[in-house]
Amino acid sequence: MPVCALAACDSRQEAPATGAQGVERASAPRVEGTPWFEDATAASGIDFTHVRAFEQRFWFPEIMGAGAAWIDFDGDGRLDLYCVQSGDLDAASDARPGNRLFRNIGDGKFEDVTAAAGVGDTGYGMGVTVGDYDGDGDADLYVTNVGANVLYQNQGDGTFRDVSAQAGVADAGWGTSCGFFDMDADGHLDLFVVDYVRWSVARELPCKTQYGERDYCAPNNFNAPSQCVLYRNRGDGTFANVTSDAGLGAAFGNGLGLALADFDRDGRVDAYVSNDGNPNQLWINQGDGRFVDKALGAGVAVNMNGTAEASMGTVPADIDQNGFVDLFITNLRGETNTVYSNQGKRFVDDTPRTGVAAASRQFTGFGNGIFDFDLDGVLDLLVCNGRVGDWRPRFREDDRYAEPNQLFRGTQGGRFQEVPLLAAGTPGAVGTSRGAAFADFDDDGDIDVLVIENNALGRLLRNVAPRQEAWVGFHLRDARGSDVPGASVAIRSGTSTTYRDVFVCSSYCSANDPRVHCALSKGAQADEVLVTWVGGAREAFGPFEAGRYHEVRQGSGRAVSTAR
Amino acid sequence: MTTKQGPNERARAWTRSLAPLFLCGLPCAFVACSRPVELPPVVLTDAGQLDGEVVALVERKIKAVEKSPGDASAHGSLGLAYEANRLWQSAAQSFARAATIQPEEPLWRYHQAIAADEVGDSEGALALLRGVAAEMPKEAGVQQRLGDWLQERGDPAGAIQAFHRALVLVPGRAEILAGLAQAQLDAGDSAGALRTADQAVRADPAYGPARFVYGTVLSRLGRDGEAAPHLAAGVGAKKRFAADRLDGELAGYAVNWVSQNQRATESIARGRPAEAVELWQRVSAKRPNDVEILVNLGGALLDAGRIDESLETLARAEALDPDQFAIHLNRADCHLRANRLDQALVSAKRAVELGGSVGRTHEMLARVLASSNRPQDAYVELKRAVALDARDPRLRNALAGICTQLNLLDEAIANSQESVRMDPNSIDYRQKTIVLLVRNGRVDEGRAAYDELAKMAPNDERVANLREEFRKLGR
Repeated sequence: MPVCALAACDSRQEAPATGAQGVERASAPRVEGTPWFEDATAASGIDFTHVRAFEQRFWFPEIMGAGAAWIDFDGDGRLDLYCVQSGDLDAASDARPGNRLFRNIGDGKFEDVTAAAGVGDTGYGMGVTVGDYDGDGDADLYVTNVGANVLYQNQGDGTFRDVSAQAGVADAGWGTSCGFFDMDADGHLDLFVVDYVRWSVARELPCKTQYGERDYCAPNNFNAPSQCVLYRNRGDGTFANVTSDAGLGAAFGNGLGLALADFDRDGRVDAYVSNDGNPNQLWINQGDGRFVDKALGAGVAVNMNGTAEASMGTVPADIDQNGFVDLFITNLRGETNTVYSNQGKRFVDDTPRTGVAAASRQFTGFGNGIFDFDLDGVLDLLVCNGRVGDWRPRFREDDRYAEPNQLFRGTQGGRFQEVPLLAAGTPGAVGTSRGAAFADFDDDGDIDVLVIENNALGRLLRNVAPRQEAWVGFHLRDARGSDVPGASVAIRSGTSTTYRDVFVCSSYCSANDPRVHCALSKGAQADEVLVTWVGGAREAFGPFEAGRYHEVRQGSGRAVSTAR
Repeated sequence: MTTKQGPNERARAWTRSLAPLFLCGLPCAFVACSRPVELPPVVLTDAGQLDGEVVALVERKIKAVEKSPGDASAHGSLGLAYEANRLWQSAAQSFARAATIQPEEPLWRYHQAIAADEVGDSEGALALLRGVAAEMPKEAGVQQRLGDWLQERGDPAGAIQAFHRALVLVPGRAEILAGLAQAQLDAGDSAGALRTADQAVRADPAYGPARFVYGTVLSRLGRDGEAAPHLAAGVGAKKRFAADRLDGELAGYAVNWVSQNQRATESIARGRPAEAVELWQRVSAKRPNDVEILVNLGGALLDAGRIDESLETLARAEALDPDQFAIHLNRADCHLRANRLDQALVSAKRAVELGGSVGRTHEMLARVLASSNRPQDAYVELKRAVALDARDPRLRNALAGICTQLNLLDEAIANSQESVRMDPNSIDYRQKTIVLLVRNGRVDEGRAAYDELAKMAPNDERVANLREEFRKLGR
């Protein structure tokens, strides 16, 4: 009985604190330690400010964009940066800011070459991917828009040409994530495009917050989910829309994320589509031009409770290093981010065991990447967050959708433990983040990231994490010199083997560095690199010294017939 | 005469009964607290444009706190008003104040934990919940929620213990068994998970999470065929928690538009359109210019068989926004049910004009055309509907029906089978598929499909009829 009196005097703080003006502020959990990244935006010369609208009308696409891509467009060995701009959906608006291309001129600096390269599409941009679709040895760009998408063919002289119409890939839906992959292993990159909602200004709805204020709607308000679009590369510079023939018409969804990987390790690249508010799809490549959605049976359609989550960003990665590609999905606030571990025949929702549930419930995740940022041999996780609705309490009063981004260190036990991403107080540490494109842009052996902030300045975050071990990287190319998305690599060093895949299309509406990268013990080398090319052929390469990137070209290795 | 006390009345009475103890001088009360704790109400700093009903409710509760700032029940009741309307931050603060004043009532801290978790303070919420669970070993909802949170946070052993404690209090509850099965699965105990999930499904076959976890366990055991219908039945499932003493009061405070709209939608889903009509009428009276509410009300009136009132409501909606396809969709349905086919056709066509990218508009036009003896045209519209919304098994089923009418039996079977694939728990779709297979001479396939259905629902009347038909066929 006396406890009542004791507790009555308890000075327990009623969290969270009240701000100076009496406005309730959200606070992120404090994470102790040395930050792993620093903001290199100003020094880099990348001054890309995303514009969602010149006048906020609460039209749905405003809150969803946009992404970015790393692309070595001029073949100088340095990764350049392409940023997707949204702009204004009002047809009467004259202001069309357009996408931008920044050329990497070395020493961590970039220059704007958009006009000279001819890639400043002014559509209402969402996503982008990179691939050498015409097999001429240079990387091309595909941009998704709310409206007609754009294919830019690299001319090999530092310029691009818009070939969308003649190539037949100008899908006019609301495109989001997209990726090139070789669905039939014929050596020509095909194209998978995820569409979100069949939206138009005329279909916009007057959605409101719980406080009765105007806000953005949820996709299911529109009851207008889309189909994905699949284009088969004919090999003559044109594509055939094979969506129906491939069987992709069998499922609709509000698609945002895409992972193109050989999930069942049968030598064929499959497609995983994460949907916002309806079940995700796992399109298993049948090898005859058809795909079958096996998500529900495989355990990746909905979370362990049977709930279709509001999925945004999607990352394929062999998190547990068992040789099979797992999935990490970012979801809406109130849900958890989700880890699906690939056990070979099916996936297991491993979210509780990995420890990401509680850390993610407060946030809405978009772009994300799984890399060994600190080179300790275990994959880490970076998640970019930003709200899609005006929820209370807010993190920032001047950006009601802002949330902090998060970095997690992978541990040997399979759990992720939050570590500091940036120094406290770094401008832009709390923002409305969307696309995140990962690359070692300065070739120093660790992975950096460019984050697109909705309606704000994009941020180039340079990796400064204390390195635990040495590293090695590989650039896989086919016989023509083109990147090979979907190829997988087993890197043997001493008694340990590290598994990696070439995933260009990853994160949210973005494209990553096409190279693979891993830690090596100090003083060690990569004794052998076993590559499984798209189609299933295997070759062994090596040994390779540590501390640099090596080109691995198809056809130049030792043929291997045994399964790994 | 005895009067039944609500939870707050009980709490208030208990506080009053404790008052003499404070006054007569427990040592700690003298030393630490020279006067009773009084706290101001938690006031919304940014009420914005909250629904009038919510503002009125909150103001009433705030006044009650201002009158009795030392009354934990008043603070808690204000917290419940905030919680019911998803104003989580204010709810958490109100419960914290109630708990400060009345720490011997752990339910304040329980609801504070729920609100804190919603705000995003997961660690703080779990710490609170652990404390409450230790103090309330006999509160099933608390133990269940602790199990749920521990399972989600990667502590299956702790979760299993909590679920077992809950089950001792309320044996056989599907929602607790489903949680336990998931925790057992996470702990690697597939055999235990299978037994528990099976019990959960038997306890409440309609509880989606139980079906889903059962399907997951079967799938992990490699029994994919058995797993499929359970997984399908569990998709979209929503967890429920055993109620606590405050839940009745909490439910009564859900007065915002979103809550009322949700309740009305649930009423429609449960086949209670009259309830939905009442709710939407109430909301519409407060928001007479909200077209969406009028459209929903029109639909509910139609479901309740009140066609003329539905048409009148839809006319009001049209006066506000003539270009909403849903108005014309519902109007077409009204005319169709009244057998006014010409008017139904006009409205259905208008719905397609305005909402041609929505499958339902084509479905409605198809229904009107089919009723007008134009099956070929209906077939074309249903094909469009299916192309626009391939997720809806009803559309596949309707297309199978029209195909049958047009003697396109292979296509009818394919669509009927697709409807079964999408909704493997529908006995109607399975029955129709079996009949089509047999009618088309594919008796063995029909028999196999029947065997599967007979296993699924051996006592269903439709299954008995099929059994009889097969008996007549001599197989």
